[in-house]
Amino acid sequence: MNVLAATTSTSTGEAVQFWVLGTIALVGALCTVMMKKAVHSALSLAGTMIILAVFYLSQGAYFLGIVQIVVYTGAIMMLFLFVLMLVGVTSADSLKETLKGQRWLAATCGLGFGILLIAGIGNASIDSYAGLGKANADGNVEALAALIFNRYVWAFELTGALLITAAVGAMVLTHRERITKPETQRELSQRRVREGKQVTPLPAPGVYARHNANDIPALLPDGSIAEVSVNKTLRARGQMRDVSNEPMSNVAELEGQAESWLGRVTPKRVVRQPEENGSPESESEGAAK
Amino acid sequence: MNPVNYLYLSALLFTIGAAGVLVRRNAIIVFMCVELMLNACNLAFVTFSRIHGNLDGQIIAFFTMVVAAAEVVVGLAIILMIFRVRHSASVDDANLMKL
Amino acid sequence: MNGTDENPLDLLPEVLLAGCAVLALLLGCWLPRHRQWLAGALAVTGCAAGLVAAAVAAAGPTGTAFDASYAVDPVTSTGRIVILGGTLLVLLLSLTSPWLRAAPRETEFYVLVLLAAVGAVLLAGAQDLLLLAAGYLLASVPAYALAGFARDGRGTEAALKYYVLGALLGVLLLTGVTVLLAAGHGTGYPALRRELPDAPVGLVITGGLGVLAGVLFKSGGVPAHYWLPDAVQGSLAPVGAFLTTVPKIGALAAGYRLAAGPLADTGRWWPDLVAVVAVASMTLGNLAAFSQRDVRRLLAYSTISQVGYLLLPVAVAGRTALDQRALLFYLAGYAVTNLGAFAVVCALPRARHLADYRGLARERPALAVALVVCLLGLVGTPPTAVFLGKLAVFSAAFDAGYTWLAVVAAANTVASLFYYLRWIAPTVLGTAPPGDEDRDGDGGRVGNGNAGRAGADPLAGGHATGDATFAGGAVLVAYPAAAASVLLGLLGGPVLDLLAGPLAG
Repeated sequence: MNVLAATTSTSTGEAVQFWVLGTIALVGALCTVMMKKAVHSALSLAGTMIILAVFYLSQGAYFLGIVQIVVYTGAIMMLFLFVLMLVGVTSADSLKETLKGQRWLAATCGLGFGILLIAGIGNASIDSYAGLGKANADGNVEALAALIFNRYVWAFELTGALLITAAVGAMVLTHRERITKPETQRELSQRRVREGKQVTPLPAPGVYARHNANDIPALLPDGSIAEVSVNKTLRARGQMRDVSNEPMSNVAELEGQAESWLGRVTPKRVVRQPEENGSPESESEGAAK
Repeated sequence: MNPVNYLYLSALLFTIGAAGVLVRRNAIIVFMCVELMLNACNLAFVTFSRIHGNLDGQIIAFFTMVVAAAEVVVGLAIILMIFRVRHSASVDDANLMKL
Repeated sequence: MNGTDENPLDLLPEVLLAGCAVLALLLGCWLPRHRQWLAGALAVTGCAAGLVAAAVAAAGPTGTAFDASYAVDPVTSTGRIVILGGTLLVLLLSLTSPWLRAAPRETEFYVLVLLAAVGAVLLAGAQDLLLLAAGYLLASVPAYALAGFARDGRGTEAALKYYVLGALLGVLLLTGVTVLLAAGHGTGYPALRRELPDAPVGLVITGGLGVLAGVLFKSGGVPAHYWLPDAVQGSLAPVGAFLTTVPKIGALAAGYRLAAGPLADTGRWWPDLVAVVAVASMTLGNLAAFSQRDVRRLLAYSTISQVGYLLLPVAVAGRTALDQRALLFYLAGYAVTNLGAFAVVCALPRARHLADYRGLARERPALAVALVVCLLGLVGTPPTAVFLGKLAVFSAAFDAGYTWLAVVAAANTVASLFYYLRWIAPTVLGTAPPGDEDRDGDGGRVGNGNAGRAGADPLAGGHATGDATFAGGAVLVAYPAAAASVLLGLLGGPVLDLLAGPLAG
């Protein structure tokens, strides 16, 4: 980046790089905000950060470019992903508004602020720039080091204190000591009976003789599905494959035949139906008529 | 191309991040949006460093990165803690005390 | 580049604090559970040593350190003394808190308090935008952890709210720094002071707004005050005392330094803007405090309104000769008085509501006297320090031509008397009958906060159980703080003269 002092425009190569990568960075930022799942947001953000690292490198901030990749994408984003893993997908939030009109208001605020910022930059009318040729003459890292260890050595030491603080703080907040005895199997079973929830072991997934995959719920005697048989995470992701339609319609058909044979109407079946796969409820009703 | 374009990009990224902080309810995504805003600031610092021809901007960006790492560690610890207590990472569910 | 002012001894109080924090952490690693208080004792020693060092430095000459990025002048010295004194009192409160003494992370609490205090001192002395940003974060990050220290539902919620707002406003502060860097071509205050008057005024205002947002967050001023009541109510009482006192001192000193330095010659927008913020802060704080029944929440709102008064000298900084000493004296008086009130709250851990204080004057007359002195002090009743501070602040505003501001502040002071009296009246006049039905009014609202004290008289002592109703050690802080509040008021004249003096750089 040996640019002469007070240049007005960069090389064409840098311009091309800016327009191509800048667009991708913007898309990444938008995806960070708009993606429904936090993992996708995190990956988009990591992409944007890598592009920013390239921008730092091309602007003469060689040290920062590398630090950006190591610290941000390497450490911070990985930390985010670890926490996402620990918290689990069950915490995926809905995009629904809790305050009416809040999203539009927020978007307007953001947009207004952005216009203000951009107008401010345009107003500042920076026509020429000095470039870092002189400042980086002895090497970017050396020049930074000279500043950090002279003028800003006090701030640098305090940053060390801040890192201690972060480590201590994170440990204070999240480290758990085992101060209670872990519950034995007997105690667990006694608690299950006391709470009256699911006393027996959970049903296994899969339908005998037809499917044995983990994402297929077991069927109850009446043909409806047993949701507890499928892993909680799969349920939260909406990846439960429901095969209960066929047996349900069979049962309904059978009942319809029985009714027409006996000449009377059986009470309407009350079964839990999955929402996404059509409406077997209406089918059974139709069969009943 | 004038390096000012980097500033425009930085402003746009900052705006998107700010809107995300205001719109999203999932605390983890809110934190990510804050990181995005910090990155936008860093890009502006680096660009100003180039425009002014000194390294002040780069130094600040360097400190911002280190400090952001420290901040985010505590933030994510708070998320883990609130998830253990509440089993939810939504900022709307934090409502034990009235505002 | 190699300046002559790189003398680490200039920063002895800060170095002592940070060093003690690290030592205490190491010490805590090897101490058995029941001897963790030694780490607290080390922290107290460090604070005391820092106080001595700060007092010595205050008597020394004014100067700067590390290439003029850090100032050692009356503002820094007073800030150091008040912050260290406040931290010392908070540490004593924590050391006498039965809950904390039984906590599995006792040492870490002291370490975090010390580090947050270093951050606050740094804010007060920073003469460089970079150092200001670093100080902001060093003061914030330990405070987030402290707010969530109890790890219960309320604590985590308080920490989350505190963190989200703090992170957002921290980014705004950094944006302000970016813009000021763009406008002033540098980060040092002396350079900025030269450059900013010629810079585009729009840029300067934007940058000033961003930095002001950070200052307001740390001090708990109005647009950025949402975290404060929740953080104070949800966290432990000593943490509440810390959060409402120590970071405020650093932040307001930083705001003053900014206003009197780089932003001094950039036009009238700063005083007008800060004046509006100050009025909003004192008025909204007072209005919200009227309806509170939880004592900690009431104190939190009271501190928000106090920040309003404290912002007056920041608004008129550089426009009158009285601003600096008014700010510093008020800060000292406020810190002592507020900590005294919190010490009384700490002494009665189960009395969380105004009604719980009924009959305190009969059960524990000395404690009631301390409480009344501190509350009247917060109002600004004559012999106390805050009275003199308010007087100085009002006259500074008047002197700078902001008469309306002084009038509004005076009116707010009178209005604030009402909610302090709501606390004083049951304390002094009421009796505490057993099975008090008055408390049922808010029993449903506070939820689990009431569960621990069902059926027990919150003022009754004598239970030597873990869930004590009276934490006797806290009076060690309450009585001296109340006495100091009065004493500082009586010795006001000479102290005020000590606080004047030119800023460094």
